[in-house]
Amino acid sequence: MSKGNITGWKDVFSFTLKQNAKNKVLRVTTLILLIIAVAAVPVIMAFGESDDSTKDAFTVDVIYVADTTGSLMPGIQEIFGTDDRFANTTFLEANDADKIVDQLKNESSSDKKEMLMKIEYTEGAYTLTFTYGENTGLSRLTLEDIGDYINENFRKVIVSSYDLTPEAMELINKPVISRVENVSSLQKAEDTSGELTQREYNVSITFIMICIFLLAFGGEAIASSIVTEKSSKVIELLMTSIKPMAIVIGKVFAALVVILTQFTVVILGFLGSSIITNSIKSGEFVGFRIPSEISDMFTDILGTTEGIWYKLIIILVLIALGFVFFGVIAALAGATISKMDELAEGVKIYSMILVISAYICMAILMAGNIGSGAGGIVNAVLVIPFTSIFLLPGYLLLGKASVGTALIAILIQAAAIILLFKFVSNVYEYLIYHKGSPVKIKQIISISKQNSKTKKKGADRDE
Amino acid sequence: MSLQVKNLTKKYGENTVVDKLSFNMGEPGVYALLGRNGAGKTTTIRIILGMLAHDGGEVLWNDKFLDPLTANVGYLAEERGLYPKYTLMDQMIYFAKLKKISDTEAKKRIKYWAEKLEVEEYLYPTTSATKAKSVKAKNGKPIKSRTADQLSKGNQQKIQLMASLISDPELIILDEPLSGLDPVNSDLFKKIIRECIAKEKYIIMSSHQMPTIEEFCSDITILNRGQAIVQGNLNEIKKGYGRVNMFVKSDQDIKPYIEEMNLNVLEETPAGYHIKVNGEEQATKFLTRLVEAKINVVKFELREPSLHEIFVEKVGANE
Repeated sequence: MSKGNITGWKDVFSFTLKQNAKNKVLRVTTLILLIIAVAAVPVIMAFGESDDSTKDAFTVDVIYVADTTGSLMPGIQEIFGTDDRFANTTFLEANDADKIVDQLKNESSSDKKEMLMKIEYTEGAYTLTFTYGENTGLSRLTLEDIGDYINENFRKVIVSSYDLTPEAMELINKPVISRVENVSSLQKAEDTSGELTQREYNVSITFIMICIFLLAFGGEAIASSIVTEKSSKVIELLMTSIKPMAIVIGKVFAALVVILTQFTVVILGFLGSSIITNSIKSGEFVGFRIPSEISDMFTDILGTTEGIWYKLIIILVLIALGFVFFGVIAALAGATISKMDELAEGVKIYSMILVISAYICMAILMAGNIGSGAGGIVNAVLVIPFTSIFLLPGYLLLGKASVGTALIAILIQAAAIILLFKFVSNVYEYLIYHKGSPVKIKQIISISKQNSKTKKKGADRDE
Repeated sequence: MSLQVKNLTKKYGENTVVDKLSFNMGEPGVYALLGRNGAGKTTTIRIILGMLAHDGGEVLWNDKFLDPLTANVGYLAEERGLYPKYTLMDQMIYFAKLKKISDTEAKKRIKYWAEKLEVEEYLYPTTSATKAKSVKAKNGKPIKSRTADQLSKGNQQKIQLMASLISDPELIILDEPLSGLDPVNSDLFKKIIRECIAKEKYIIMSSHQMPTIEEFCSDITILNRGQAIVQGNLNEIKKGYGRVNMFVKSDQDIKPYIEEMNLNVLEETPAGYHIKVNGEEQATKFLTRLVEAKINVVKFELREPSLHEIFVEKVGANE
């Protein structure tokens, strides 16, 4: 990608961004989305009360509780000992956690389903470590579910164990971290089995849905932005100052910024609404409370994963590249049409690619959720540019994909984006004077080849 | 400075739309590209500007390959285009920015051209151009620069001309600049073209309006199906034809004398006879015959063929 080809993309970017910001339709759409986000919180709160009592009891016989704080055992007995979900479970105090670990290691009978819950208070947070033995008939998924449930209700244990003094209230509000360990390794091993707990599955699916929404909305905006120059015939004037690639790059990035800004506004509206709704509900001002699904996931990771910040940076890079990748595909859709009327037809292929990619990822998540995993396919899906944006950020965060895999995916993604930009610019340039119906995929490929050949011939001639 | 177009060739499959076209502009002035619709004028212009890949030949500007991104080129395209929903001021500043002109300088130039082209009211809808967007109208709402879709076709064309000249280009390419303009705006455009000529700009112009070409252009190429069928200095081309167009008007019947001398009548109208002669000698003989016959000659004119006549003759002959 020579510098001359992209010179001026910043001017295109700032102009497009400025015009988008002035666009009334966009402003109204953002406002509507903001209203929906703000209104959603009280509605969800009103109808979203879950009832765990209807669920089945956990299939664990004994939970040994090693409480290093020395104060929470009575609360555990009071809260969980009487809970229907632990109807088949006995909570036993364990003074020596290591002894229990050895016991679980040597356990050979699968009839006795035992586990250890270790409670620690370190670095301003409660950490709950759930340890199981593979021979006890318990699975990782079962422990994840138990861990989630205990985590969700752990504040009740604290309330029950302490007097409600200001200090106690402060302790109550400290984060609770839970993690699962296997006695075979006795370390927080990276789980690459592909199996997902219900919570992991929910979060991953939600992430995919948000991505689809943003990419579908953003894709159409990019395609429409790309076709504007051709439909208004202003392209010929622009071409005396700038190369097609710079136009494509400037427009793709401007549209992405608009979409992400819109999304941020919606999220901020949601957060603001949460604070206000919670404050009204409790009768006093309360800060923002992250939904438990998300907070649990983060506290899990913060408690079990080292180097979370660079992982988060990698995740942001992955998401950004994924958006750019799909943005360039949307630009290709825009490049193949010449009139605004044909926009819907032009973005059909883009929508198809988007939906198929997302469905593949959803299928893998479903397989993981039912505990079967998806084997080697997952590794491929994680690094393929079409699917990596949907799956890899979540997998990396959950410790189900390695940083190495993420770096490979980033490299592949970056290379694909550069090639795609070149390809789209070729098609865009070649079809500047195209006035017919939208071009088909076969034609697009042959056009790009032909344009590259002609350019090469021209370059040879000029030399 | 010079512009050299050498053996330019463009093919679409088996169809050659520009065939080894060459011409030079060694001095400032206006070079005309003429031809019927589909003759290859716009394709040639697009190739010169590097917008269209070509199959052969080269375009040199100051002996180097012409790159519109580095050379200062202004272009008024045949297919006029502006963003319909963006304000004219925003668009002008954007076009200027793409040409590496600072905001301040761009605003100065926009003002200059807005006055010249009489479009101030659309760019600066208030009486005071300097207040522009900040001034409030009577209803309290700020008045904004107009959008392109609020303008008539003629005014849009003026804005487009402004966009092509905003960088003060050395090489200006005008594709059908006067088409669709009313006589007043047409004169306005001509005035600006004259100014550009006075500033020693290199201008390539394509037009179907032959009188306009004759008014401005020193050199021409007439294209037919991608090939140059007439090329060179317009005056030289005309001289080459000689003064063979004779026009005679009389209040008496001169038809018998025309037949007597076996002259080639091109057109007979109530205003007179338009006759093609071999040269000045034949014309003088005919006039002498009329005078001898005591015919009252109201108008007698012997002139070179007009560009229009050359065009029709050459293009017609090649059809």
